[in-house]
Amino acid sequence: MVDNTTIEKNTDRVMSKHFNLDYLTKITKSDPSLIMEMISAYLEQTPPLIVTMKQSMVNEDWSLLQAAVHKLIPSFSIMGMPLDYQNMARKVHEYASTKENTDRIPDMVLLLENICTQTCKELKEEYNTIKHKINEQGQN
Amino acid sequence: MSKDRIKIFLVDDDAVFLKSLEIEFLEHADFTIETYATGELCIKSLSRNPDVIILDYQLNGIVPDAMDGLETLDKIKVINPEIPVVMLSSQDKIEVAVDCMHHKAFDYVVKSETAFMRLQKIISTIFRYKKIEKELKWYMERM
Repeated sequence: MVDNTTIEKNTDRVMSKHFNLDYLTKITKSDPSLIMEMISAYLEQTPPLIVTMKQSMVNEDWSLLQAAVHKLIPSFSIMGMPLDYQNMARKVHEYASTKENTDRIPDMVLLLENICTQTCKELKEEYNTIKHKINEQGQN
Repeated sequence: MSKDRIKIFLVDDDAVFLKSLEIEFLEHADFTIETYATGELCIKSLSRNPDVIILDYQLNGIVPDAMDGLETLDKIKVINPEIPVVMLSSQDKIEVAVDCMHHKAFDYVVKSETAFMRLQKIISTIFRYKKIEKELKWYMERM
């Protein structure tokens, strides 16, 4: 069972950021423009998925909720977000597909929304930092 | 020389995963990559002769009328049964894997950090099989 409070406490204690770009750095061989492309793809894709996730939850459209969470799951590991979040998304996916424990979905969706929104905010800053560095290097 | 490279179609509506896979493939010089966000676009582009297609299982999730992965797989097999198709999914479920095999997918890979390594191995296997088939055909014709 995923305990939302524990996740929040653990994450606040261990992480200052909700993402870790180690995996992206590895696959891009530290190419900043490729890292920026990946961040940009995440920033473009995630907010509409969150909207779909919330709306489908309100409408109790479990198959759409399942589809939205399904599409969100791979990006958790790509962006190096804590495994607890991915497990929570998998739980939402499972409950939406089996239509069991649906009363537990709203809290988890709300938490996922907060996490993803915060991650987007932090990644936007990271994107600008990388861009700034590239521009500086270009000037030197 | 792009002529000697293996042409791969990557088909996924998850832009983040699609991009990450494209980057990993392009880090290896032997591949030419074409990416498609829908099954429809992939089908339309089959005349561009891909050597292998890597196709997402759940393609129609958000857009209601879009073709799903299995539907796309079936259409590919009707148009050209020789193209090996490897299915991708974030669900590590036996039903999904069996479903893909029943629809003549070459293999099934779960989306994870190791997906690219698995895909590389599968692609090597595909080309080893193709080579064996070709050799066998050559010998059969001379028997």
